[in-house]
Amino acid sequence: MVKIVLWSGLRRFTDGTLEFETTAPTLGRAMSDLVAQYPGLGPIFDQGVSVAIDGDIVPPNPAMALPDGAEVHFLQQMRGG
Amino acid sequence: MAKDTANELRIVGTRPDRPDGLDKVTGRARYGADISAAGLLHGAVVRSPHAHARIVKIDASKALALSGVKAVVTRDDFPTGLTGEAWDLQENTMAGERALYDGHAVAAVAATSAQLARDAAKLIEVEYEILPHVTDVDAAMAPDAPIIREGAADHSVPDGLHPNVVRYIEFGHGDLEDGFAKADIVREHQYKTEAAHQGYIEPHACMGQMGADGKGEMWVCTQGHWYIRKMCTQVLGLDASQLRVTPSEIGGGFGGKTTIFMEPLSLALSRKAGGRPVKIVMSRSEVLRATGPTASASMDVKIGMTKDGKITAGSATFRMQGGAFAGAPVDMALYCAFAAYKVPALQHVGYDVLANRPKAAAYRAPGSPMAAFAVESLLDEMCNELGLDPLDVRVKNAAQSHETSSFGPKFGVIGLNETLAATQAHPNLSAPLGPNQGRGIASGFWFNHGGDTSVSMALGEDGTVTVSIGTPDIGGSRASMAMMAAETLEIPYDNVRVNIVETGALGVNEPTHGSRATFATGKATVEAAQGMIVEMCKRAAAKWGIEPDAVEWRDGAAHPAGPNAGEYPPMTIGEIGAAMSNTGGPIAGHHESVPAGVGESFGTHVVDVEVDPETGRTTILRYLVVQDAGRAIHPAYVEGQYQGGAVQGIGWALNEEYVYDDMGRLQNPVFLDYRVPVASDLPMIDTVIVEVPNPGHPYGVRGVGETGIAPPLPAVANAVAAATGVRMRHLPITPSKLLAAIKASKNG
Amino acid sequence: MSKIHITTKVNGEEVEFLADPRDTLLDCLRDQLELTGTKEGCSTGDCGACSVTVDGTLVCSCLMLGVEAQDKQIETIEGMAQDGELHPLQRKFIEHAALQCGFCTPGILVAAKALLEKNPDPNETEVRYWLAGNLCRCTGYDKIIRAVMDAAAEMRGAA
Repeated sequence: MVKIVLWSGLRRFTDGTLEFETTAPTLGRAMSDLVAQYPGLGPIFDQGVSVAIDGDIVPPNPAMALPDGAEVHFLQQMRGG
Repeated sequence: MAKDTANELRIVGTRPDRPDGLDKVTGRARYGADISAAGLLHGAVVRSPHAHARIVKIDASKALALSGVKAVVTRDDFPTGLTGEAWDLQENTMAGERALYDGHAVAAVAATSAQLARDAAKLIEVEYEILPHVTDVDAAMAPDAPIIREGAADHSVPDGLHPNVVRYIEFGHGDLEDGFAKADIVREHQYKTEAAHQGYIEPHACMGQMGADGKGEMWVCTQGHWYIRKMCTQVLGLDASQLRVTPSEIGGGFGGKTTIFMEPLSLALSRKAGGRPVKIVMSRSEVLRATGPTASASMDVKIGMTKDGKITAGSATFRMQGGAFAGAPVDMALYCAFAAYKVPALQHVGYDVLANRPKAAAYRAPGSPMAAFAVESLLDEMCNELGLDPLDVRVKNAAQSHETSSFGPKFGVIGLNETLAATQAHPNLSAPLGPNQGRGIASGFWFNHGGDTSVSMALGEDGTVTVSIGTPDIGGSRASMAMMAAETLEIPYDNVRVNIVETGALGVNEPTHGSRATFATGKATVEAAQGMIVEMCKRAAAKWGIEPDAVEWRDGAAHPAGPNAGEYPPMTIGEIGAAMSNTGGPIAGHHESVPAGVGESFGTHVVDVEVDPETGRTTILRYLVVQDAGRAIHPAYVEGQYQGGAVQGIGWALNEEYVYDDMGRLQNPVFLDYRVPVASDLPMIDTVIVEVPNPGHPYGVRGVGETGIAPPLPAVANAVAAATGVRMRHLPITPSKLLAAIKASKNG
Repeated sequence: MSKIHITTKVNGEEVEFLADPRDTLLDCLRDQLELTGTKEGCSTGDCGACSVTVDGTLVCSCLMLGVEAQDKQIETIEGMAQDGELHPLQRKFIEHAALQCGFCTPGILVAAKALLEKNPDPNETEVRYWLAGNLCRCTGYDKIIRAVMDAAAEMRGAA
């Protein structure tokens, strides 16, 4: 089981829920499952998000396997220098 | 396997001479403008003198009539149909329907000499219809603000905001009302910072050459030549692989040279001029007017604190303008704002707003200094009010390793506690202070970054090693890479040569930005070296007729791994190199990845100032930087980053700002009036390198380049408040502003 | 406007070049004589990256016209090392890591050399004020000042 945490600004697209549990094997599947449940998330995800897996900020590779027990945080896309 | 205890390291942690030192102290090193070529033409850019204007007509006939003028380009010479960030880059490279800021490029010309190109540029006639403009971030959000671009807001922006608001950030956790209710005092203030320029001494310069077939070459000073390649080809509608970009030495960047400005123009002009190379060197006023300063910020912060210094809740609402395009670093600012603290309830809201100013580029920890100014100033005000020691309060509320960060995910291993402890123990804290003197303390944070990294390493026939990297050397990183390669291979530092190679020679590399070079290129260098070690051991194993896993690498040679492996004299790297053609061919290692395991860097600064009550001038008496480097590969270059970042922050706190008149024209586009710190403004900058190794890097490296610019803004403001009793909430704290504030406070 | 033929001495050698009357000495050094060690940072005399000495006086070469160079003795960064041996200032800069990007370094070395020829024993404040006309954005000046004082000490010891 993997815990997914969305940033609070996304409350208006979900029914207020920010934390989800998923058994999706990959990041891409987890995201598409969320969009299926809350279509409003679609354009946001398409635009791009940043992802931290157990604290490590990584590129949002859809094929990335989600390790069991991991905590995956979605952050508004970081555009740094 | 890389060693991780300090006493096992032979080279990492020492201070050898940098390999490019000789070139740089003799003037031999070649920077962006230090190039020429047969048939060279010189480019000049025509720039809008208006902050916002419709471009009615461009007439280049008089320019083209001059003998020696070979080409003129306008936006008509660029492909159409781009969208998103590519469109933004193209629109910034050359204005389309409207000029969007004072200095926006509207046309360019190439001629046989630089003087002639400038003369020709003056002859290009542009007719403008001036439009209303706005340069202030808060004014740009107001209902009556001129609209800079319709429909530019992305999906994050809620309904009802001005079209100039192009991006909206919101995140937080916990029960804010409850948090503030639990506080003994709740304080709220607005803080503002002005736009500053990275201020690198070397103006942007490039030489571009492109034939009618779309194949091209470019020489350019840049922090990231793959970005130059990608962006130029996007903007010009070309294939990336057909443009080869070679980085020159770079005379400073600090984030401002991670993107394109006039580079595509050199290629467009070249193609129009029959493929002759075109050199464009920006003047200083072009650099200040028309490259990428950082954003200005208007910030509201509210903090709740108990009497004994526990922070119970915090909220931050930041508004930032990044010029006429999306990209103000309001997201990063908010992520950094409370990063040094463990706060049960936090709310962050941010607005990225358009204004008629140049397109902002990154500047050293983009967003972090502004956020630090707001949050660390308010915390200081509250500590003063409660009579609490600001360092004790930071220790009490410090973010901890493996615990939830202010921006959501859990931290890995972080070194904030260690920097606070080292600061508390430092003798500068007990230096006596006299009249009109005050001490200020602040902490700061930066994420650092991994990013696309490709490194290649090759063994020479004599056992010396070449390392090809893709991150330009801004501040001594060739030395650090050579040290890490030599440490891993266990050969002398002088037997390694590091080259920064052109785009055709390696896989993609992100720029030298995000404090990533020593971490990411370094990690890839170590991986590539380890790959080479595996291959070299195989060659020895084959020669000895034993299994490869029975061979180990030690002291720059292959050895039988144990007594059972057999008795063979070691094969040195030189012997393996000499024999490699006959033992299987060239030996090289390479590594491509987006490395994980990035380590954040926290820092705490202490500054003592003296304020002259008659002139408002603030003198820095003493400055201390304490920052976590994870592991300092070359301590002198780590100290250099600490000192350089601190001084840029001091300049931003005391002097630097973009000044616009009521026509939206930049008033201070030269170094006389855009006043950066000079040697006589400063004392020595004391540094302490704290090392809490980052488990994500074989030698424990954390990026260090950026964190150091965040704490100075609040630390200086806090020190000025301590020295004068006057709290400045709007940077820079120029003498005239401070004097006026001191006088006002005396008058009650 | 036609160009003017100039003969002058640069780093001890006679040279000649054609100067557009609007060219600065900096332009001529870099583009005509291909001595690109002297840098342009601002062209308004504010940054010192273009520092050279002319008849022993430290000047910003961006504030002097190329045509004014006739019959002068000009020293640039390229002339600082003698017979392949680095000047103590150059050595100390490497040793103290007094450069990061290195762009301001030639101007600062030329300026520091001029200082030490005038005052072989400057204190820290004197060094800082002398170098106030040379901007550095990378180092914060700390290691630069240390390198100059250390070179001065060595030069006094060797004298």
